[in-house]
Amino acid sequence: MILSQKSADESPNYEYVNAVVRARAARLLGRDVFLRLASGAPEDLELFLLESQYGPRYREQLATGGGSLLGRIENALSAGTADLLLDTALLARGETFVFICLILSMGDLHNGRILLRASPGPLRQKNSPSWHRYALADTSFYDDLWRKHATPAAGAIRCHQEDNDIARILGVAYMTLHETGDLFRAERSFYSGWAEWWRKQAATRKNQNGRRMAEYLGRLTDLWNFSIWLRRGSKEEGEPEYFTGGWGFSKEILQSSRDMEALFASSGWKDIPGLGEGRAESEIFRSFQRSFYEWQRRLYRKNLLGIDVLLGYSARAVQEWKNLSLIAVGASLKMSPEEIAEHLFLPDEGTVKVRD
Amino acid sequence: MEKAIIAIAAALAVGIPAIATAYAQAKIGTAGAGTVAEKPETGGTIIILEALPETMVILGFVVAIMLILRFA
Repeated sequence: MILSQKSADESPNYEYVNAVVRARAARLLGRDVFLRLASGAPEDLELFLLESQYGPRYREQLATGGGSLLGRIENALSAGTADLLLDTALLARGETFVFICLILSMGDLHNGRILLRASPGPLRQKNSPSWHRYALADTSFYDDLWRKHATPAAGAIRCHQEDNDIARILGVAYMTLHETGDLFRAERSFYSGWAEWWRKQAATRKNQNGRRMAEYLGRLTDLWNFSIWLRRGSKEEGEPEYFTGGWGFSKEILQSSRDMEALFASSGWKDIPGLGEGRAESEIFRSFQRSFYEWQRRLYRKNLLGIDVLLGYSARAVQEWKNLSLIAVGASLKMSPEEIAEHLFLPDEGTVKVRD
Repeated sequence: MEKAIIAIAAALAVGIPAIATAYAQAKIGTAGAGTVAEKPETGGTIIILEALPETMVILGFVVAIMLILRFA
């Protein structure tokens, strides 16, 4: 757990970390590169990765051997992204460090969800899944949970042996799963615990950066609540239970809105493509995700002496990983470049068009 | 008494810009160090940016000299 390694009381060094990050961001891939890679074969992507900033990690995969081409690419991208993000935490101190750790805990959120959903049994493969390695808790901790603690009870015990907040929150979720057998409730417990932890950390700094971190969490909560709102009619779900602390959607709006236009009208979320055009709910949800990502990406140019740059950078780095993974999977399935490009989140996009 | 007030005014004319310059140079310096570490080719630009806040102290110094020459 990185969070315990440094003092949070030192003065922040946003100017230094942001300068490093902005210089490094020049190496992140642009729209044209993604579209060119989407037009190629998996082998082209492999050659590209060897020459890119993921090169050392890809060579490591080749040296340690084994695995399919797709597996090698996925592992190299996951490790390469972790290198980019964890390195920023090593440079940071004080408040900068605390907030970078909050950003990194998004990895723990993903990893915890994977573990809960695969627990117990039938979904669990022999090999560990591709963890979000930039997480605060070590990958070895998640590997251990995956390999040796298949049941929720065993997982809960293992989590309580770890002395950190993330493990404690995951342990409570495991315990909920053990006691109720209800995965939905366990995931909800995990999300709520994680959000509460984030909120507390952000509230320790009464400044613009603290408020930005709280806004980030609020917007993410909106995304979760929208997902719950979309399923509100299904019998299995019963009465929807929304998360508290949303940025744009209050509980009252979520409970009273019958259609999407009404829901978004007074929410503060703007420019959701496709809203009001009769598109499928899944497409609107994706547009909403894209809108959240675009907001993060725009932060990159907002406050150059605050956490905004790091939020924007981390969003771009994680999205680059996802885009390259999608290209690798799409190319190996022999999808057309247009089909692959439809699934990518590219900068400054309205309608994606593949160049000849 | 009058000379003492002029001396204090001259000291403030240099001192306050010096503190502001120090603050600005500290921020620019750390940002510059981070940038040069990643992009060595930006070294020249960073030196210029680092030197810019010095003008505040130089102007303060000129004001201090003028105060002393005019009133002392």
